[in-house]
Amino acid sequence: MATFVVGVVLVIALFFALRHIYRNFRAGREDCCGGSCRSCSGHCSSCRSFTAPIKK
Amino acid sequence: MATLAVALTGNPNTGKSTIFNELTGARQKIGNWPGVTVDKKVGYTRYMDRAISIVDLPGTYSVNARSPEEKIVIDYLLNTKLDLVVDVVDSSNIERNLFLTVQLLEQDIPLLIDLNMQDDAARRGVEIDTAKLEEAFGMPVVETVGRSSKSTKKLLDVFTSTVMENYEPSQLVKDHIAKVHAIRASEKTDAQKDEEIIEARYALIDKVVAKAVTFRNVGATRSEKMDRFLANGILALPIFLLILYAVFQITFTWIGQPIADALEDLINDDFLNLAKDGLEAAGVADWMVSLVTDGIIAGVGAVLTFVPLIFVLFFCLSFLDGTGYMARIAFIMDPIMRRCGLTGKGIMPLMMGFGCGVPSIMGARALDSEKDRMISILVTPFLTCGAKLPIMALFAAMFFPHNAANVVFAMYIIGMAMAIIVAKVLGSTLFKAKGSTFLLELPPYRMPDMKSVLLETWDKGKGYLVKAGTIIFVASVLLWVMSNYNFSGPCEIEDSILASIGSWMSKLFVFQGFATWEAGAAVLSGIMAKETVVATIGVLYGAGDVSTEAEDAADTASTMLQTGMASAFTSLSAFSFMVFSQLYTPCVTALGTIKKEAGGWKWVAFSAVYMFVIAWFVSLVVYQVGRALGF
Repeated sequence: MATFVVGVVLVIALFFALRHIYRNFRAGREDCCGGSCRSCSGHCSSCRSFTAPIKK
Repeated sequence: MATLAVALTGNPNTGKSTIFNELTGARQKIGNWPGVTVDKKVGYTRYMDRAISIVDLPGTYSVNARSPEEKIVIDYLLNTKLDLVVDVVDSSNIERNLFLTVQLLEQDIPLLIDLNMQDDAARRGVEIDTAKLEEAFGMPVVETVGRSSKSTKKLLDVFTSTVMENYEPSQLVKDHIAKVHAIRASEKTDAQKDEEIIEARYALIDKVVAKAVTFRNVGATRSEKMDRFLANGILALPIFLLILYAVFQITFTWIGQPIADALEDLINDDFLNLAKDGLEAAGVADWMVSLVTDGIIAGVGAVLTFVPLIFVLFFCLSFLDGTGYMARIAFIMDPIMRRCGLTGKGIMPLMMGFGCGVPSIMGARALDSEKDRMISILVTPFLTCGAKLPIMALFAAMFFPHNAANVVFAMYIIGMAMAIIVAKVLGSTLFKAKGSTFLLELPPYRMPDMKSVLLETWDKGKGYLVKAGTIIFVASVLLWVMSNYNFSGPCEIEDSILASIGSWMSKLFVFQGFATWEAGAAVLSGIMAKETVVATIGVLYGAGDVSTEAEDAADTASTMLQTGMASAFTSLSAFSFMVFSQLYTPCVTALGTIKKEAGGWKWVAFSAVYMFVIAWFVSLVVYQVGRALGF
């Protein structure tokens, strides 16, 4: 029973962790950037709708 | 009542982001060097029952739409319905700042002129008569000092008033605009027109300044005196290296490491034993106890242990940034960067690489030439980002306990040197075009606002806590499964999937001195995220299954890790491993950003392969030369 409870807790934790990684991946965001648009000063890829166009 | 739309514009480094943060309570990065904000930011506030949206635009010297920043500013100002545009002016450099003001007035954009940095202006002997300035431009003028609640209130009072309705451009400005229109309509060449328009602008500025500004001679400013020493042609580089060295001593010897050591004891001994005893007492199956303790706590704990170092390092870098010294680094590095065909401006995004390679690669888009941008993107991952720091700290503490700070400092220097060398090679082979010119305004030295420094430290550092709880947590579970199972079921660690993959990988490192399957597995996992190298080592060596000898010699998880690593590495092979980790293939997120910024998979493949090859070769040289020298 104790093993089952710990297992369920781990599965839930893994679900949230994987969801975070998947959402970051979809948004092109990186936690190292500071986590939000404001704090990364526009360099975070999640800000790409606002960022300066890439020069070609 | 409709939301009031306000935009902040102005030259770079005039304190727009500080005002924006004060007005909105946001935590936008503030740097005491130009070009911190490369896009526009939106924040919201309420005052006197009015909802106010405030947009912080990138700093720009002109609105000719020649650079991305200029294009963003002029597009936004001309195509957005705004209630108020605030032109934030550095009062201490008023003549140069008014050049943008005049250009905005030429576009029929009504302005609230915010004379910011009044304290700096007073120190420089610049006295501005605001009433005369208002009269000269026909636009309202307010005086502010960036970080002051009085200034914030003053601005909000103006925002919510109907003050702008009472102003219209003065006759002086109207005459100037008419003159500019006449020049544009003339049949001269574009270059002649540009030249005449610039002259007309400066003529207007001269008239306004003559009316409203008094300059007292106060001699050299404090910043100028400091620059005679800190930005001195001969002393600048040694002082820069000395400051960097001091940062590493603070991080790895004086403050960061003692906290990291205490945290290591807490996690690897106290917490791990508590968890193990608790789970066993609750009757949890042995395999689950092993997953939680040998897998998750060992893996995540190994990374968490180094988070204090990351926070201390980021605090030091944010503090230096706030003082204005970072801008001097661009100036100091300019001659070196120029020899590589780049300019000192290229050092700005590179410096961000000490935090994380991703924003650094993206920051390269602020560079003016395609050549500078591509070279910057491709060499940035050589720098020691925060995620590589745990690898360096772990190996330095384990194999060079008395010289940990020096060894980590050496790794940072190796990373920087390699970035410069490769930039030189790329500049003379793949990207031969002429680089851009580099004009840099050195901001005055200031005592940084501790609140901003701490907020920036937290903003940068918390990402590593989030990563420990997400990607490192998942990686630790995965590594535990892969190190305890093969395709037939549970097995000894030597027969596991991870051992098979690691063994294959380790064949590449025979000449580098770390041809063990554990090191091979760590290198491979590091491509997912660099911290995973430490998590892998934590899981594999901290688990106690590495060797019977290691297990016998160890009585705690910490000593287990130490003994396990000591049996697998010598000091020389550990150094070689550190060099390899410093230089090899970037993590997947950085590779993804390279694809987006460089524009194709070929650059991803190029980065992944060429960095691996360079890392392989340099670590080989380090190990073989070290052996030849008898280390």
